[in-house]
Amino acid sequence: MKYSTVLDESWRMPTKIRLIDRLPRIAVTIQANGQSITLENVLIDTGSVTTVFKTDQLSQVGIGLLDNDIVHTMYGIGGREFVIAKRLDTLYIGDLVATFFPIQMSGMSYAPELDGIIGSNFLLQTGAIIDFKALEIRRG
Amino acid sequence: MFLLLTFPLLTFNYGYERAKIMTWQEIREKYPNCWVLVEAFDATTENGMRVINTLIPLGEFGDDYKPAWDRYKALHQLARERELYVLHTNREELNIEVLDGFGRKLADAYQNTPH
Repeated sequence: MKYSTVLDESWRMPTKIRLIDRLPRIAVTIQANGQSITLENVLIDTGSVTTVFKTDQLSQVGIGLLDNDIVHTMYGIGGREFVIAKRLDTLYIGDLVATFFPIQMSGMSYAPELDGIIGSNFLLQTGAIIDFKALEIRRG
Repeated sequence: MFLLLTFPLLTFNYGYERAKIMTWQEIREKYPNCWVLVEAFDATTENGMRVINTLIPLGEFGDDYKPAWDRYKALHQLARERELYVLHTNREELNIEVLDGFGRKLADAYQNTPH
């Protein structure tokens, strides 16, 4: 995170939810290995326990496959998916912050247009309020 | 005459030779210290863990996982029910845990649900 970004007050503001193709999407900032990127197209999915990001985006913050990774196979709607357990140093959504946060890394071929999925583990840990009237997500 | 008769049979068998069904330890011996793309051939789920008896190696990719991952994505896009893995052969045991469609571990998934 750059120093100028810390001084900027905008990170404390609630994040706007954008409804694109009828799905609620938000922008999230992920930080790992001293690098950070903002992903603009992340789905809020209360029906998912885990938070998932794509391999291509995570490689931009230096997260890749390792030979001793903890790996899972996920099956359900739309076939079977190979997922890898990883951790982010920090995950920001506006005023919601989680550190050393466990995520799943996968190809996400079922949702090629999304950058990732924010699941209920992040929403529970940060005590998030999803406000569909004001279309924003903020801390409770 | 004998050769002519057996020729189609030989070519037919050749196609089957190409798909080698191996255990994970056999794959580790044949492709040491590299990334491989594998497909589970004979696998079951026991106590929330995947028990994979045999696999089919679909490619060997050296030190860099990215070509293996690109190949995985291309194959998985075509047939999402295929059980494909990108793994490094330094991995001693597979130890693959099963998650359900909501991302829950099978072992903790249905503890409080009446069914």
